Amino acid sequence: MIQFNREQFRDILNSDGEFSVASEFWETDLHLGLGDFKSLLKIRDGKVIEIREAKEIEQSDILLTGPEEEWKKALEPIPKPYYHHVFSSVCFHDISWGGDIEGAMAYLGALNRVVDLLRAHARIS
Amino acid sequence: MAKIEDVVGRYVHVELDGIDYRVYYEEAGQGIPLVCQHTAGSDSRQWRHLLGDSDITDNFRVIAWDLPFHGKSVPPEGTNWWTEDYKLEGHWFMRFILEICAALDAERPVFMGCSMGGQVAIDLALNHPASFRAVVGIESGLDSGDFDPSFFHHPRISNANKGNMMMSIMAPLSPENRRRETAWCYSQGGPPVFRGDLNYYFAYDTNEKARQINTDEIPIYLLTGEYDWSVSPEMTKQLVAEVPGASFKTMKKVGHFPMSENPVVFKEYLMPYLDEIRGVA
Repeated sequence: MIQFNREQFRDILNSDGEFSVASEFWETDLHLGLGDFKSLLKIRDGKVIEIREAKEIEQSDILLTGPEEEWKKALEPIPKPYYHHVFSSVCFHDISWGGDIEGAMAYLGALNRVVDLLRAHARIS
Repeated sequence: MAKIEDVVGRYVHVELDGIDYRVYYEEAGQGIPLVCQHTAGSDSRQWRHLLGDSDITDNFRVIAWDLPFHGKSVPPEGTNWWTEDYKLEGHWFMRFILEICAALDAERPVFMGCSMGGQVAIDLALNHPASFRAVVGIESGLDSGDFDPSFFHHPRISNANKGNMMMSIMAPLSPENRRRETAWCYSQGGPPVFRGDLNYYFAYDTNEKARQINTDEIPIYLLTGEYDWSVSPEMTKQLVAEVPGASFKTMKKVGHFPMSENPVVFKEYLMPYLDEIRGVA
């Protein structure tokens, strides 16, 4: 199972220098589905104002989802080729994104930083 | 006393089709000319570690240029370049390389290029084998696959995206400061230039021609990083299958930009090829 403490992760993102620089002006609702552990990240003016449980895929701007086994590979400390970045994970493995792809590309650095920080802070069992 | 590097930067004027291109280049060392072509959308800074390495410059005159519209090679005078979409074309690219080598008295140099530079290395071997002592293709393939580059010049997506996308083809094991620098240079390109360079990159297709290359006439050395998804090691193996005389190694723990993202590992792979070219292997 993959999970993280949502409140702690909100604070981790908001105090992270790279995320703060990359997310400037970002306004989005990001659905993050790590297997069955689903969350909605509400980001306003570059800050994560809320992370809450999302039971199903609900109204959101950007979706980033995948089966747990794929996320386990993407969240290894040194991922194998193409699991190492959100874009290559989406293009070459079974991590998927959807919704506002233009917005995802505009904020690719911030989106990848979310995954980088999950790599450091998610609990995998 | 301040530390001053031996690398020297100058401008050379290259005339092509009546247009005078003022081209920035850097060089260091002496011996066999080794001319280095940067990747699409970047510039000669990618080669700075090679230019500063005396193990290489003791035996090679290393030259790296910024293509027109890249780095310090500003768009040419006398053209309304802003009225046309910037697009790099293969025939122009090869002629430019031949002309700048002649202008710099780099006679029968070793040509080394990465990505679009790696693809043009193969095009040069096909079309101008007598003009080069050998080619070193980094991240070369039979073709460049399929990819929609429209996001690389888009009014709602900033130049930062180019750098962030390039982070995806570099290896997590490469030093982070080297990866960030490589991405930084990408974010500094003229807005249409990366996509325009990819016009050549995606038009490149040697599927029907690569087998015409005679490696007795022009030796071909290939290196591809295992974390590169844009030209994967498998894509380079397809090229080697058509050009069986080519030498090839998969570079472990590096990605698409070995010379700038991990110059230490790159050197371990490159030096045996350079020794072979010098005849001391």
